[in-house]
Amino acid sequence: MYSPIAAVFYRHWLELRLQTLITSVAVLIAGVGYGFGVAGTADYFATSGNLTQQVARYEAIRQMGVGPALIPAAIHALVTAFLGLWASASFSGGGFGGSASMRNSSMRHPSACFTASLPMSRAEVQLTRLVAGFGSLLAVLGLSLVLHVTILLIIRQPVPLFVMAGTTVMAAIGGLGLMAFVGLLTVISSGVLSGLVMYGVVMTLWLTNAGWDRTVDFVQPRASLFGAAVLASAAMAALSAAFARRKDL
Amino acid sequence: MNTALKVDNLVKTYDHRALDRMSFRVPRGSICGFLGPNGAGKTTTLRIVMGFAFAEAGSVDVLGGGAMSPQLLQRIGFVPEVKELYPFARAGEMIRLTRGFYPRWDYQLEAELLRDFDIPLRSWCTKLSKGTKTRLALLLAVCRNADLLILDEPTEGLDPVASDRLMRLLVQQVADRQVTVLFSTHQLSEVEQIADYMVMVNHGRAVLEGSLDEIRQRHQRVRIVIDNDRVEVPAAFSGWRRDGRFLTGLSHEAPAVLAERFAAAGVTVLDAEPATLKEVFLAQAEK
Repeated sequence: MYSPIAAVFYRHWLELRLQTLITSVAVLIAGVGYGFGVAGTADYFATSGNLTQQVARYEAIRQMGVGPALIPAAIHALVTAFLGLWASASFSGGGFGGSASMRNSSMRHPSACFTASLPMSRAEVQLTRLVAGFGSLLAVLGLSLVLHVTILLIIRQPVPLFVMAGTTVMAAIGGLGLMAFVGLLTVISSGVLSGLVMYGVVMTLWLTNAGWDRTVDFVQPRASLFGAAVLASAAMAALSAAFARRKDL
Repeated sequence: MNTALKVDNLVKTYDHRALDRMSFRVPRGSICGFLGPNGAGKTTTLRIVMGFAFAEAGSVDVLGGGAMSPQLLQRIGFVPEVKELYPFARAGEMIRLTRGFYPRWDYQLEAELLRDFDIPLRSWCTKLSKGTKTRLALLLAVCRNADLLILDEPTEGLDPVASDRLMRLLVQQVADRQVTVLFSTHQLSEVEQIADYMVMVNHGRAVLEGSLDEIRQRHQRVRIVIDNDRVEVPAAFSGWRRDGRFLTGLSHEAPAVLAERFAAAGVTVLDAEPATLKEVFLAQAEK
């Protein structure tokens, strides 16, 4: 049936489905680990009394009043930060080739000519691809959130829903920024250089997200950070759409 | 001339001058063979026509609508030089997604070609043989019910039977729906088999253009015999082969004009007959 917008999203879904499936399986496995992690850590802190010290150490956490729910919130934040990074790296792309995963240093596939011959502007392809990637990211992050909340209810732990939802939104918006950046990379450059730049960015984000301090920072959702990330993503998406219009494929 | 495609003075430079004021016309409703040796600028021209690459100078007019746009792309069927389709899709999915972009998709032709081309719909595009990839790319281009088909080496990877079937399909498309076909190829036999118009390119510019009949009439294979070595071969001649006192080559002058011109120099024109396309091609490629 004739529907260009449905057709272009169908194209993007075909491109993303394998990565979405793999990431969903990873979310399910991480969910089981999350249950064990929360139960085990909560037991440890309950007997050692270290939780009170940790809460006291971070003013932001104390102000949020998470209290004993800090452990479920913090472990959720840790899992979500890494999941968001991984998923957005594997869901990113510009719509003119295979997805720009870290394994693939070349971002443009010969099938780019087929895509460019479809009756859509390059800017439309570029932007719909970003939307489709973001949709997949939201789906897996949403699945992760629902799974973690369900597990907390099953193992009878406190559910800091607002904080968990906040960290999920934060990971989604951070992921959107990364995807917009990769989309921009695919139009301003191609080949090994783009792959190396993206690899460097992802690894830097990965390493700087590790550690308890960063995790606790991540627990606290901040509106200003959300706004800045959304604005930066929109700017990069607009820039990539503009570049895509006048670039040789 | 009612033109489907007009290319004017295209200039494009990569590490060398790929197109050097490339200009030609493709008449509406014709099957136009786009011929030239490797590196002559065929693919670069088609890429610029399709809007994949941008020229430094010159212009393109597609179906009277100016340069390529998404609206015009709805009326174009295209097969690229490299017939790679999505590595993440199966053959059937490629067809399903392409259908969605074209309001005039020909379902009946799709069913006929699927039967004819023997395409395994459940196979991943990466697993298809080279010939099957080409057939699938052709199906996706032809079923769009386009007004202009632009095919970059469409028979590459096809066996002679499939190649012949494709040629017949193109002729049928032109006969049934007044489609214009522009196809690039190295196969002179294909051009002779189906084309009624031809553009020959070399060194980034069009060197010969016209209907096949006109080109054949314009180019004579002439055999002359010379009495002395001091006779100069006229510049209008090309592709000369010398065998003792005999010279054979191409000329675009009528035999009577040649005979008159050589008579004074003591040269006799033995015979002149229409040249084959291969002779014309080789003569142009040698220039």
